[in-house]
Amino acid sequence: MRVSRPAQPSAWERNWELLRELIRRDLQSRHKGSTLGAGWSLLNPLLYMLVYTAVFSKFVRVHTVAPYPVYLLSALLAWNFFAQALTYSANSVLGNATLVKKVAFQWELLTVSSVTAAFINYLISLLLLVPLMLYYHVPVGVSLLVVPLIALITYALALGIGLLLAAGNVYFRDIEYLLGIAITVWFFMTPIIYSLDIVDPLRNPACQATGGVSAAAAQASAGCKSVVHGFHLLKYVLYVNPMTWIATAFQDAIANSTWPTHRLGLGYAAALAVVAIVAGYLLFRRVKGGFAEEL
Amino acid sequence: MTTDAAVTVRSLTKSFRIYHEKNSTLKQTLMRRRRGSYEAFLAVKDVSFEVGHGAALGIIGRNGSGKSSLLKCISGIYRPDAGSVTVNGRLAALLELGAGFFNEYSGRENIYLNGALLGLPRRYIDEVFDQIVEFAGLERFIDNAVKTYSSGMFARLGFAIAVYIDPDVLLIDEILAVGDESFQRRCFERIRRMKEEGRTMIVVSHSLEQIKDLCTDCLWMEQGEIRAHGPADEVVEQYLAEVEHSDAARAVPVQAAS
Repeated sequence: MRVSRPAQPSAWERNWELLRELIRRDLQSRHKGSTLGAGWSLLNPLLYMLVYTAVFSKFVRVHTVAPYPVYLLSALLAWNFFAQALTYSANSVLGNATLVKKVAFQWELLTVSSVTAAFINYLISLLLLVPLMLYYHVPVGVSLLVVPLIALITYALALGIGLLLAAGNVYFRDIEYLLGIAITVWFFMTPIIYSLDIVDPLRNPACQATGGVSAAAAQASAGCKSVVHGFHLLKYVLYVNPMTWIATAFQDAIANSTWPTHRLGLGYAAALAVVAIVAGYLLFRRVKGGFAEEL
Repeated sequence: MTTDAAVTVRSLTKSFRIYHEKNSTLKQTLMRRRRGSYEAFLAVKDVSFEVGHGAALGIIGRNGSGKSSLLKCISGIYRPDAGSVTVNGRLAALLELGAGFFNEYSGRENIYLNGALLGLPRRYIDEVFDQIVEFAGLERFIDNAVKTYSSGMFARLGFAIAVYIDPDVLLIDEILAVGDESFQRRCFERIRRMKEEGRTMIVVSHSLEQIKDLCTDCLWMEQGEIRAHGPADEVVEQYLAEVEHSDAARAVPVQAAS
């Protein structure tokens, strides 16, 4: 004697609806109690931009083809998303301990929601580029069409690493603290405030004067070699870092109005993102059976 | 072997590690390589049973007998060491009322969030929203943040959501004792009606009257094992007899000492 009921929702629909609710909750809790609320998504990078621009384009001269604020912000916004996504996802299971201990659902969604909420903040913060590009007369080219693709690669990389961190942090709580330091180091090992050109002997501004054949030029060339040589190790670190290629792709597409020049690098970042997602998902699935006991 | 039972539990075993000194930082773990010394504690030992569609199973037993661990294994919160759990249909486990509530949210928003956590999309909740609010008796407060709610209001809302999401299989852990007398009676009526409508339920309770009233069958757990499984009336009687017997036995030395 079963009473007729509406058709049951599919697993996909249930997970999708739950993810939406979790994202809403994450977005709301992020700015709870602050007067400006979501305005911080814009204000925070704006303040950083002013500080970095003052330091790196006035005091320390960083040479970029595009106007420095636009160049900086094109990759800094994406980096902010990446750093925020990792920080929040590391805490996504641990911070929801009461939920995980009492309600059975796809706990991966907690991490997906953390990353996605940060991504939505990022999309809002992209609005900052509009007045800036107008002010500096940066041409709006077709290269902007590739921005969603680069953003997607960044999202995937953040999600993959986020899943690893979320699962790992349940068992080793130090991860959260190590992460703070790691993110700072990682930031400086990514060409965001400076340009990847500094490790490239042909493009390093210190070598720009080596065009002639005079004795002075030869001397400058030797100096340039030693400068670039000092960057040798740094160069490999930068090349291995997938965020390098994501940052340069954003700088090319947004600030330089060209298609990404380092396509191989971007492909490498995309491949790493896929590996990270697969590894993160597998690890999470493997250890999540112990979450409720461990928390 | 195919079975058309709503819930099938086969040789379920669940153990916990009781750490003598728990290492939860990376340094401690690396220093000791293994994660400290521990003892395995068997919370559920080789438990098998079935619950047919539309049946109601009560689970009774002393504190620490493995009732809640069993429920958590069935709901999927714990991963069992061995054995299997098969559930046919949509399952909702109510292990704690308002477990998924977000304090900053209003009652209204929490209904949708909690519904989603329990597996019910927004459009379904829209249909039962008014009934949930009415059942909880929170018409005046539904747009206030739940952090301003009293613990009674909190529990009432949690329960109201739980019973209106209408799952195929409902797991209830000791939550029928919330709110005042009249609210408890309404909860009980609602659960009874769900049973009449053919929902399957597994109820852990210390209220033996409720178990006898609501359940067709009953499982008596003792130290992680099934002590008895049968018609609710009989198992409850056996359990009561045993408890009285052991209480009487325990009472003797106390009297002797005084």
